[in-house]
Amino acid sequence: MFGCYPCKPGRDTALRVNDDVQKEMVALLPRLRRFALAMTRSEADADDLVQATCERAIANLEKWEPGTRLDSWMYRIAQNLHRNVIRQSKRRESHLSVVEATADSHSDGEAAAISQMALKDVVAQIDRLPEEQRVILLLVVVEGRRYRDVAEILDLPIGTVTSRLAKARDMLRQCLEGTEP
Amino acid sequence: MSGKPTFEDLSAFVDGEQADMSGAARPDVVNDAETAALLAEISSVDSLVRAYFRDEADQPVPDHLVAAIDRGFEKRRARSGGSAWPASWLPIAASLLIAAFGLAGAFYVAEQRAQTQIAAYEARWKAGQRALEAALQDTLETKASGTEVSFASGTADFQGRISPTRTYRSRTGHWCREFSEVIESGGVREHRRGLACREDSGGWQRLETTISGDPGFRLTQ
Repeated sequence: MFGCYPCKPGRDTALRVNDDVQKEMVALLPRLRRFALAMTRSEADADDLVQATCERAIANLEKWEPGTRLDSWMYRIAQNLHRNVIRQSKRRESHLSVVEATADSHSDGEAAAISQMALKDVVAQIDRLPEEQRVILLLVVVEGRRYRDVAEILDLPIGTVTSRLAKARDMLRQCLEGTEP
Repeated sequence: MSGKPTFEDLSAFVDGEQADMSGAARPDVVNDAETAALLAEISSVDSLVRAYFRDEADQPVPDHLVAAIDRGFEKRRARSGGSAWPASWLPIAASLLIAAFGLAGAFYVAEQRAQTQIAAYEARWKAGQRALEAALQDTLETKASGTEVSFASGTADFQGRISPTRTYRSRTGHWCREFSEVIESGGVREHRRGLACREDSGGWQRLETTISGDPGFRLTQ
């Protein structure tokens, strides 16, 4: 090599690491997209979220610890970006919970409405699960993650992960029962 | 039955996460028909869940996402390779300055781009929510039960239908209406039920939105 200045030791290594990370990031796009879809349920929003996540991850690559799971780290970034957006849009509606606490009797009508709901399709039911339950199902049932990893990715206590997953399964199980002759 | 595992225990057991479960409650120890049936049902549910997400993973990834990654890494390479000039071409001070500004600039550009993406995403979300809210106010105020009103957000891939289903006066004398709504976004359709009551000021306040399975929602009486 001639006149290369400054020839930092390890620069080539760093570039090689970048190459590997780039390949890994492209390879995990389908899963990252599926994760984003589980949260947003809109393809357009999921793609925006994935792109924002990748850009944020690349800009902050120094914060990722090589040797740890890149996918978990990026899931966490996606989850934070999404949560911030939701939080901002909900801030102005936060007074609703106060109103809800004082809401008056409607239980008869509500019970009637619920019993009329035809839960024919278990798969469609997954669409209707609360976002976090669907994401937990994805991570545990499909990706085979440990509860501890899921708790870390979603920034939830492990007990919450356990109970929400059980709740989601129970809901789908009851729906399954309902569709059987 | 005190010795029987709860559904949550069974759910954790299936995932091999039952480490702290007491021996007596372990599903494999209890070994009764009801527990076995529940375990089989969890297994069926899990199969369906896998099938559901398998379809989503099979979808092709849009090229612009791959391009975004390539672009981001190109910038990183330009940044770290930018100082590899022969020593005779540039004084040390200049190369250090360029490297410093280049680094700051690249960070700035990447950050700006990420912010733009987030803003676009947020704007779409809000436009959809605004369209839904406007349609809800109009429908509850002016439409009879059984009427269906469609709405769409111009800037967002977000549309739906609202239909009041029942109207009554609450104990406090407010008019309340139950309604059903279908929201379609990104090719996904969501069916929801809601309850809103009319405030003294004239606006309709959404008190409950029910997507089955929501933890805040009473499924059992």
